[in-house]
Amino acid sequence: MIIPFLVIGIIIACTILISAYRMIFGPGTFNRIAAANVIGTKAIVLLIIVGYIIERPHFVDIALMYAVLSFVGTIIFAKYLERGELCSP
Amino acid sequence: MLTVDIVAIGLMAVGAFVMLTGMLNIMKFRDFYIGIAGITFIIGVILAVALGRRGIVDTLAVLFLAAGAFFIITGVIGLLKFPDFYTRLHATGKCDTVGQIFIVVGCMIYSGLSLISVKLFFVAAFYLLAYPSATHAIMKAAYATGLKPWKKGDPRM
Repeated sequence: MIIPFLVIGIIIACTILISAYRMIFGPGTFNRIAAANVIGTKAIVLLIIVGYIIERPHFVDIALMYAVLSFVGTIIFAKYLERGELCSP
Repeated sequence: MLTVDIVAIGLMAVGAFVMLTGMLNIMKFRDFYIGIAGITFIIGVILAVALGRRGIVDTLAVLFLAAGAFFIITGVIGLLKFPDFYTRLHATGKCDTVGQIFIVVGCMIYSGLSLISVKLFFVAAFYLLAYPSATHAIMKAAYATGLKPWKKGDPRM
């Protein structure tokens, strides 16, 4: 049963390409950050699906790690854009 | 083992039907019945997974994966076509959360009762916490820096 995972993986890759359009041409900074957030969260699911395609589902560990890093990156970027500085005294 | 199949499929069908009618508000069900229907559906899934009926399990996994793909495609169309930053995040913030949790749950059902399933559950739980709060943080930052919302008649931003 590899075919359904293959189809879902191709669909997620196409949606990542479509989001990359919004990240490159999107007007303003916030559209680009939103598209980068979308791409980062789709990459988690794509990692899990690739792990099932090559029959090595232990890729889930990497996916969990990447989820934490992506979330922290998005939060830090939003905080920096809101306040103009990272560390406020 | 045929009776086990029939019992599992019957439990899932009854649970799904009652949940759908409760969500669509066709009959005047209360939240209590929707909760009972959800527990019935989950009991059917666990019965099919624990007894190792590969036909039912594979079909359920494919159904969940297809539902996740539908929601993800809807969210990306919203990200591409909506006229404003806030409406774009309104589309992706909900559809992506639901769709990717559906895909992770499909992989959980496919894996059965194992350690990988537990790790996938942690991924889904973290996802349910993290992604809406990240969306909220970006939107709050945009509103604080003075990005105007789109009104009808304005050009696309």
